[in-house]
Amino acid sequence: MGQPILELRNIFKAFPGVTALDNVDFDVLGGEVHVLLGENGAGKSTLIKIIAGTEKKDNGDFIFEQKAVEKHTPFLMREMGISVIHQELSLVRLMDVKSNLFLGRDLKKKNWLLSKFGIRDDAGMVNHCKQVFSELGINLDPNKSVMELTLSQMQLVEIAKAVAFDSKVILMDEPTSSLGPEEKDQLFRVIERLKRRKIGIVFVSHILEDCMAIGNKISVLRDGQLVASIDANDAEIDTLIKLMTGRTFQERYPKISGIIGETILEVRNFNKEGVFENINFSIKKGEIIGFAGLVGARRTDLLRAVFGLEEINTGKIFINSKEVKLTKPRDAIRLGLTFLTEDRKNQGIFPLLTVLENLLICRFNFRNKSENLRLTNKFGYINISNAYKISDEYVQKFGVKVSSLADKISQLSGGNQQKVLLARGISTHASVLILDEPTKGVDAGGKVEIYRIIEDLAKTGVAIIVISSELPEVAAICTRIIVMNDGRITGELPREQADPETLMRYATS
Amino acid sequence: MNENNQRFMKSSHLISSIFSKYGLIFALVVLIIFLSITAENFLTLSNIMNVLLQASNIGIMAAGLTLVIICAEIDLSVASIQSMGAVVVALLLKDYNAPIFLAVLASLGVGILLGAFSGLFVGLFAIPAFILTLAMDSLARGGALILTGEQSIFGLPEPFSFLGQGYIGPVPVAAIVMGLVFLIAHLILSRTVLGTNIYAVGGNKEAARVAGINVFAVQLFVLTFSGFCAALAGTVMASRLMAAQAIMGMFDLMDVIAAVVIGGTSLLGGEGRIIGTVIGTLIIACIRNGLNLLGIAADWQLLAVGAIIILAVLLDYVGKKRQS
Repeated sequence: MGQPILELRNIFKAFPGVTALDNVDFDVLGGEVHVLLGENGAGKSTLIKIIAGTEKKDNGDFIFEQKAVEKHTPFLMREMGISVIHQELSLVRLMDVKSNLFLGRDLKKKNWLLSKFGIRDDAGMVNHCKQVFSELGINLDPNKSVMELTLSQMQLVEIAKAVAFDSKVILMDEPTSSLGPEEKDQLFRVIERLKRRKIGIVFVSHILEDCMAIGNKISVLRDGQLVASIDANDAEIDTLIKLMTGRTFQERYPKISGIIGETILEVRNFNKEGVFENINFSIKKGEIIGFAGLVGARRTDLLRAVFGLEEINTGKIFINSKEVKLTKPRDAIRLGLTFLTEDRKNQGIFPLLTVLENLLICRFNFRNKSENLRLTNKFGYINISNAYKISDEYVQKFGVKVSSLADKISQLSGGNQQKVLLARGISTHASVLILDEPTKGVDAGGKVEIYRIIEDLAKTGVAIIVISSELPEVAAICTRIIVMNDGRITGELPREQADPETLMRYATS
Repeated sequence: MNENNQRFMKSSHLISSIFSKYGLIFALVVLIIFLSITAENFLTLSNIMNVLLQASNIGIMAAGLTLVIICAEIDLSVASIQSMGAVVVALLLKDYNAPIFLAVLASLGVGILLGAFSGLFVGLFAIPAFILTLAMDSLARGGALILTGEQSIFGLPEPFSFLGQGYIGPVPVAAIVMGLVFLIAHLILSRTVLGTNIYAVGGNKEAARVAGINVFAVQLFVLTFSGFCAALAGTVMASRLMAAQAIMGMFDLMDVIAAVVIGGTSLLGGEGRIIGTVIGTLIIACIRNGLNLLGIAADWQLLAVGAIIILAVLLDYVGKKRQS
């Protein structure tokens, strides 16, 4: 292994009321992948921010290439050679690949006069871009617009950008959370090449399998303290989970089930040209069914269409054996369906509104005449004290950790936001709950709490449809699993037969 | 405790957080003190009532525009719909001898129709409100010019002056109308489902759709309400001047937008409160009135207003930054 490029010593950082980092040591060696693990709230994001220069340490030493660094800004960090690739990628979507690669430092024409006028050297940029791509084994056209790229290709462009900047340390925040197996292999191959270039990599992820596959060293943070820093070869999933949370595998993926009743929802002959075809499935009250498949299997498109968010060419929906008209989300909610999108930030929460408003927004719009506590009068005038009472009940029942219902929802952790959204979905007395990646970006502890909520709902007869890319999750929490590939249902099997190999076989057939 | 969203907050928190957020109240107080010292007639009851009277049409339009901007839309047609409202009421009174009550209703109806027209296009065809209301601005102004034949309309029946020139006790009726409009807008925003939906659509339109909010209805409402407010402002202005002209209030749009934005409503949508707009309106009105009292010429007034708007927004920015 190479020299330590980045050394953090005794890093201390406190926010009002919390110690975010308590004398943490963290080294990044050249040519090494150093995995950073920790639940939400463990101090992981604070450490990332300090490395990225967006947050200042209170105390401790920040040493880069044997020199102590005193000034911390994102710009200085990047100039020094630290690049951070965030989950939300920061490419300019309307520009092409090469322009993104050189953003802010376009190559200029060699000719003296032309360079004085700031004329771009497009050919030179294409060449340089191709050179970086070939070194990293990336196969992309530098002239393509970023808008046309897939998420994983954009990620590769970000990595290439870091390399083009001559970065010595690249920090990747949750790089694999939205990748399919092939894209993940591609990413890992690129990371191997980065290692050969003696670049140090900080790899932050919730997906332990990925951490173990690519990591050389694994450091675990818990409650602001570094609880372990171990060789990845010695790591086992169980020990890592225990280190992070104090839970075992069984505790992490509990088998849950509801109390099964009559068929409630039936989807027949759903077709959308070029997206999905000939889809038939049904679900009973209290059943939890999972939709498994690779990225691009069209699971999300299908269930968005069921909820009325996408148009279809043909298809019928039956609720309680009666055909219903369902063309927009409002219809779906009125009929007792509810949908939690995968993209919590952009399609789920209202970041500027309070926890209370986020929780009750559906209930406000879909009044139920049989309620004991009246939320609004017939003019839509809100009864604030009842609004507090009702949302407080949900917050208690779903175990949302929040200091005040009047806090903005964006102040909550991912897991707690998701619980609020679950409460929102169920607040209209929904009988079918569609959850698209319900535990995405939620830490291990929060996941288990969400599984428990799902189980409680299923026990009261709510039918639950889960889309999840995390196979152990599907296999654990769903009683029946439907596998999709390329817009078709390719298999359906009970939980007992749903081992990862079988699922993967159907998902690629 | 969260400073930026005082909705659904206990009242004790409300007052302290208004002060922490609206450093603008402070700016208003400083402005008032400054004007009281420099212009000897500023801090008299009659002049204060005069300020409120002058503020009334800007304030009424700003109340409507606040809802539009919180919904992440914009209405650039308010000043023209104001003229249209004034022209309609004046024409009906003068040329058709319509009863005052009916003439006012008709004027408000025209405002509602024009606003709803914008709302319909924005909501149904997803045409940016910026473009559509810009076109509406031209349509309403052009319509008003055609209706009046580019002439001023004088000689309105005397009782009509009550709205714009009347007083109840020491308070101008127009100021009371403005207060009522502010109150209604405030109640809609802070206490009704519709208000929550306006914030929701402005803050995250896609999430609003998924949550089953009728986004089209919300957009239609805010633009219709804005049209209504603009026509009401026009009626008040026609009554105050006892005349109407197609080009009156041509530059009011700038003051209206300034009042809303100075009041802390984000042009990106999803954030803002009526109390802020009230303060913004008062700041604009005090500046205009104070500069008149100080005998500053109109050209210099323009300059001063621009500078003070920048200063006020800067103060607000610094205040917000310090909080976070």
